[in-house]
Amino acid sequence: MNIIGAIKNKLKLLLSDLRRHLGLIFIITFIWILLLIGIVFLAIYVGPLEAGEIIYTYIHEEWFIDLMTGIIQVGMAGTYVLVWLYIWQRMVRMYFWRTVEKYMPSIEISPGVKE
Amino acid sequence: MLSLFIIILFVVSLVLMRVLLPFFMKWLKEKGKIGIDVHKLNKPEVTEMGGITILIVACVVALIPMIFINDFIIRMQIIIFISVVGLVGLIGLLDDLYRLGSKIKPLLTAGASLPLIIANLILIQGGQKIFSIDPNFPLVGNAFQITVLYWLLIPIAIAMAANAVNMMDVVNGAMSGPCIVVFGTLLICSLMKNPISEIGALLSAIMLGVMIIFYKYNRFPARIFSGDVGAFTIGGALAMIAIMGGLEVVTIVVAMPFVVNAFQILSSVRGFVEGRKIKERPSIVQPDGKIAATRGAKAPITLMRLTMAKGPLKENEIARHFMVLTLFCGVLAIITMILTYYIYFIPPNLP
Repeated sequence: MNIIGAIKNKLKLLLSDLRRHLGLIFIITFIWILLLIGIVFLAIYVGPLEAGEIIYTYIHEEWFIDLMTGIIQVGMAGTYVLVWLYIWQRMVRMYFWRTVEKYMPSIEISPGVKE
Repeated sequence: MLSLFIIILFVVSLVLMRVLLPFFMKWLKEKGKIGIDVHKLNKPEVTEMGGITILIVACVVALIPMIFINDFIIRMQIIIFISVVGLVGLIGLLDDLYRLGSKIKPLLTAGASLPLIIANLILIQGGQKIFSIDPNFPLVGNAFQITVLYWLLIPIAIAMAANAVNMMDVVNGAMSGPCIVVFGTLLICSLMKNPISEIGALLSAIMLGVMIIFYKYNRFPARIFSGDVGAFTIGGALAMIAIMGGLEVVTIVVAMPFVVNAFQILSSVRGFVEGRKIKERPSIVQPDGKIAATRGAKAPITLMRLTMAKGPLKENEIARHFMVLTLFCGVLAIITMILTYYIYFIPPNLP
């Protein structure tokens, strides 16, 4: 009986902690979905990308075409990762400052540029 | 047979850690390795560098499957695991003893990935491999190949993991608690993988056992700190399980709290800066013993500061909130695993 009670208490605590961090959990879930969407986008559009058709008109070297294809693919994937991280950073900052304004408005903000 | 080995390794690492940690605590105290617990009002002295035990136990227990499992690839994987984790742990130990620079640490930890890269390059010549350079992604299998990029990402992954785990170690149990969830999730995901990731499961079981006992001593009120040697060892082990176990995306998902914490610190202070040198602190200890987020605009928005955005928290509550967030990410990681091997648009290319 004590064990069941302890489990119930732990679950209650877990739920209350989850409730406290609903904003963060929303951000994490959104970022996770964005990660999945990004992977599908990269697989469908960037993976099969061929630089050959554009470059072949000017240069006929196959190694150069492969290199250009690789650079374009890595560049696009890298750009997506940077955008993903940037969105994550902005969301977290926005969440933090809004929450602080709402729950701790009495504390003075130290000098500096607020995000 | 695999499940028996997983149980044996888990139990042996639990027992060995339970036996060695008190011994090392005493020894380190005698050697004067003492730190101040700054988040408590009475500023108690706590034994530091307890992570040495994590390094020793992880490496010693990893030798068991190497002796008893007659499989060349698994043996190679374990040798490489011990080499890389040993090197990363040694860098952490040097940092604890001599304070390495903030820029040199990521470079050294990235360099520790060399045994892994070289071993795989050699094995690929003979048609074998200790890790796949074409990982399976959720929903699309390995339709999107990152063969060349993958080699370049290995040193970055090891350096990032080691330093991200180190950055999480802010209050009692804040790093060791979530790490239990991370290694537990990786163990489940290794068993869910199709085919099962044997090396992922074996190493996760070892690290899970190690972390459970370490958490017992590191949780509030802490009797031991891990030091950089412990944090780097755990980070290195995490990266190695992700790479060799083929659990890259899943590891990123379960370690999201670690990623957000490290990324926010790096972007706030614009690069690698020693924690001690950050001018504006993200948190303060209040007279009632609770920890509050500061409102300094230049202070890094760490995960600890994020959890305290709604009000001050006790030290043990912060660590618990970290665990809850990691637990949520663990659920997302398991869903990611299902989306990789069981529900997908493009089937994964299975060996």
